[in-house]
Amino acid sequence: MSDLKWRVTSIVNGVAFEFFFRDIMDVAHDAFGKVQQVQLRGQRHTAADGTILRSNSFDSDVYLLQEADVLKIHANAVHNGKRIEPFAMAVQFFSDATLLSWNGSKFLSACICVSCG
Amino acid sequence: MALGFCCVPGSRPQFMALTWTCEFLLLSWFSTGNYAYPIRIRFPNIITGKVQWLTIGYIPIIKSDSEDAAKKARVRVLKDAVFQRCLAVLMHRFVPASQYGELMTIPGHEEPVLAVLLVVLYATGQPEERRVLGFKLSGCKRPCSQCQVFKNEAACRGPKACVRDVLQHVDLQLDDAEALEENVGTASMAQIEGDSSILAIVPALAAVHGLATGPRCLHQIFGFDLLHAGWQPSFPFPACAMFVHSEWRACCFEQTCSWM
Repeated sequence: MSDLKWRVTSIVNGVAFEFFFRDIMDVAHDAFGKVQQVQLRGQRHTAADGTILRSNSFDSDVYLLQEADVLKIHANAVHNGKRIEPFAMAVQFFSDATLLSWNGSKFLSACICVSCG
Repeated sequence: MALGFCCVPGSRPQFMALTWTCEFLLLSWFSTGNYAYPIRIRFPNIITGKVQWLTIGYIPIIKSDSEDAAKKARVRVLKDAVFQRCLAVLMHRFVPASQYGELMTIPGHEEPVLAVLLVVLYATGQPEERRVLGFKLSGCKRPCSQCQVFKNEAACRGPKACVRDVLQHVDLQLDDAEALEENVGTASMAQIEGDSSILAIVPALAAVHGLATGPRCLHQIFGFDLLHAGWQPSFPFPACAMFVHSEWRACCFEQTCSWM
């Protein structure tokens, strides 16, 4: 577990709960260190009739809005006397504690896939 | 099956595929045998040809073993507090990196670049969304996380209220959390909360730059918005009427999902 940079801490709030986690920045460094191709900039796509096209995270309003703010704030970022290029690293989170069933078993793994036409 | 449909006023309803995955893990190496569920992240900047989620933590599941309403309420508060603390642990380096950036070496660039982190999506169901934001899930007057629509009007199609102000709500949550800490009593807390449906919990995500500062996108990053159409509070599955953001739609449709 420690090789994969997993750590454990106790969350104490009257009762102690063990929380297993990895640092997001460690995960980001590992992930970006292994990849071949990255996209650093978002872009708004529009159709011929002027309507806005949305296909992924990089043309979403939330990303473009935050990216513009990041690029404005860090436009003059400098490292060791040299100008350094800023980029907005988007992160998506997923968690869901909704219980599909609680049948008292010791292990539960469930997956639902619904496709509608 | 009409599970998800788009309900932007003036647009045609669109049906779309949704993929739900739920996994619970018994952390058997604990002496107590706690249940936990994973929290995952994804970096859309990485182009790999497939959607890859990385597990970054296992959040403890806290269950009430009592039928007593007061005890259940206490467990609910504990559950929310522990969840926010787990998020705060995960955000320890994320928050400064979202404000000041962090040097990073990426392929194709000889020089290091300044990576400034931002949250573009929190994909989750409505109960978890309310927990992340520190809003009441039940017994609230304003059931929508994005706008201040009153519950009596929530079943009407189309926008009926103004959007929630991020700073105003975080300020109220700070005051409410302070009041809870000082044990000022439920009447004072109810006065602070008003009809805003907040809890005495300050969302850890509010510390991330861009969510409660800058463009203030805290309420816009969630994958599922409750629509004010066809929603019945008594329905057990809250995702019966949802608008699916382009980001989450992209996750479902782009490529095969890969879970790590």
